[in-house]
Amino acid sequence: MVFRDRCFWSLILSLLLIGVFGVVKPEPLDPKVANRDVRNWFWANKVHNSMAYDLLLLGDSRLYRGVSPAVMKDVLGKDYQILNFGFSSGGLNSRMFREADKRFAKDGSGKTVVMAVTPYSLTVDAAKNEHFLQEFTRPKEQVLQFLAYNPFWSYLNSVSPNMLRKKILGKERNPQVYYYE
Amino acid sequence: MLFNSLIFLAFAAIFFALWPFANRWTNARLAYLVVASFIFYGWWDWRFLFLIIASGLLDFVSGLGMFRYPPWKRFFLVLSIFGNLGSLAAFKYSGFLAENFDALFAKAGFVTNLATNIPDFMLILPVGISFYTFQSMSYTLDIYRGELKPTKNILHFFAYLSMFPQLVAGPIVRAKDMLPQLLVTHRSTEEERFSGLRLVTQGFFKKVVIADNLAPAVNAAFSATELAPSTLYWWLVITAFAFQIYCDFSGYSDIACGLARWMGYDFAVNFNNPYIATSLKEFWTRWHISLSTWFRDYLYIPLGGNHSGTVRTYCNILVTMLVSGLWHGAAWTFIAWGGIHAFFTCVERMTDWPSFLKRVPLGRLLASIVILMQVWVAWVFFRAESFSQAIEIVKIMFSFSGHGGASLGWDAEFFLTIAVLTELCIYFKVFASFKSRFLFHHRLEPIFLSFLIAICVFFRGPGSEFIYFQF
Repeated sequence: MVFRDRCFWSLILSLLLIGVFGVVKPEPLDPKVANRDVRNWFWANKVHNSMAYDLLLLGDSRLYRGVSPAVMKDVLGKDYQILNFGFSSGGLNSRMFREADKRFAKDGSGKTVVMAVTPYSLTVDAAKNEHFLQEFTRPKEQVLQFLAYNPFWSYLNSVSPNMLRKKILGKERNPQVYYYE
Repeated sequence: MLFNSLIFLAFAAIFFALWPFANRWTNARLAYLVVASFIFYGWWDWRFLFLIIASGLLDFVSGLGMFRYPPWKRFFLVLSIFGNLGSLAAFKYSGFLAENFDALFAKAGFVTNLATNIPDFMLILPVGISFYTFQSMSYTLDIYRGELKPTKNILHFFAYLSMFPQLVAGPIVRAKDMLPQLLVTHRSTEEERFSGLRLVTQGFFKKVVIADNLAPAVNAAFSATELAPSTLYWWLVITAFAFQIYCDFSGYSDIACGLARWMGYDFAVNFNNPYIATSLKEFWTRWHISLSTWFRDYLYIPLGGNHSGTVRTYCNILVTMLVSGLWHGAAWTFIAWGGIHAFFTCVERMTDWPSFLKRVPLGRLLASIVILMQVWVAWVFFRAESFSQAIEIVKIMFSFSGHGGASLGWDAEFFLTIAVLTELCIYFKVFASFKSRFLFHHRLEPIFLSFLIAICVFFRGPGSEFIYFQF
């Protein structure tokens, strides 16, 4: 086989293998917990999307792990736009209120904020809102990659050998933590 | 721009699509290479392009000056070395030097505050500064020794200095090897393109599959607020780090060599299975070969090498190793890393113990194990967050304590096992026949390569920078 053919067949077989494995590879029970790319999309979307909302939930990790906008929508109506704006060690201060204000519908009937207050969320450390700032100041090209390319590449999301092993042995358990959009 | 990023994929696709057109005329090729390399580097921070340009211009002019005005040779050499080491001192070592001067003066009762008065821009370490500075210096040093004629074409010089595959993390290519290659209009052959594909795939496998999957376990161990007390655990962590840094750096070199081969150029091998060495001397002929030969040719031999008496030879080894440690980073831990290598190298030279050991049954294997233990201990200092942490870890490694768990996590252990088994197969020459019979068999190699590519896509670890970018 000449070298040109070797190159050609290497690339064709790679595409074939990637195509097949992309279809048959196991998906985690909760991709937001197990998959880095999905997690990156989740945070970038929370901070950088330009949607307008009717209700914002403000707070820390207890909020984004514990309160589901989807469940609230079931009660309030599907057209009601709700954003879980919780961040790890998130503090409640004027900075976050201003950020919340930017995300409300300009002609909306009401601007509702639900705050999840914990003792820590009122401390000076929490007021730094480091997690929010980390996402907020992320370079534009990275945000673009997380929001625009990564969903397209989700087919190529990586798997770990351990996940593969658990799937094969039927040992995978429901994750202990959940992230709510 | 990282090799393991989407943006590099786009950059490389455009570069190689246009390369055949630029490759028709010498100046077009050189200009294209310079512009592409500047875009590649400037993507990180365009302001630091001025540093490469200034450093390059100084060496370009110094090279021409040495050639045209031989009586002023020494002056131009000093100018070049002063400029290059000056920029290294300013951007890489100023913080370290200032902190240590402050501490020294404080002991004498003076308050100097040098560290707090360093301008902010000098606290940013320009990516790859140690690599391109050394590459640039080798150009003027070779001209000074009469081993190289300077180029009069500034594009030719900057194409050599800034060639993007090796710009930020080596290998440190020598001007006398690279300058002639750049002048020849050579279209890469099908064989070169295929071997380039093989190298790039192998490099990505080492980096994104092995190194990136080992990194989280190693980082977790070193960043823990309290060090785990188990001896076995720390030997495992250091073994993981040894393979992480090896796969990270040699992976980068493989990708760089592969990309160069696609262009039709040839870079010398930078790593040659260092962990199968049976002596430290051999280890240094296998690890980061372009840097160790640089130090050998431009520091160790000019100091007198091993031809100036026994004591002087040991001093030369010590100086070379300490400078090599300092080259890697501005911290005492890196200097200690160099010092440990110097100590073990001197002991080996004094006693020639590997030769004795190799004469007994299983001695060769034993010699390799002892060498690995020495290298592992040195890696502790290389990776530790502080000098005191390194000492603490070494103590635990030799305390034979069984307290605490010894697990790195299933994934890290899985990839570590693959890395260790591969190295063992190379050591016992299992691959030698297997490779030629199966893997590199012309019909089977595409299957093997395509599996590697698919593994790189689906089993990649959390993306991270190449470790050697910080040097």
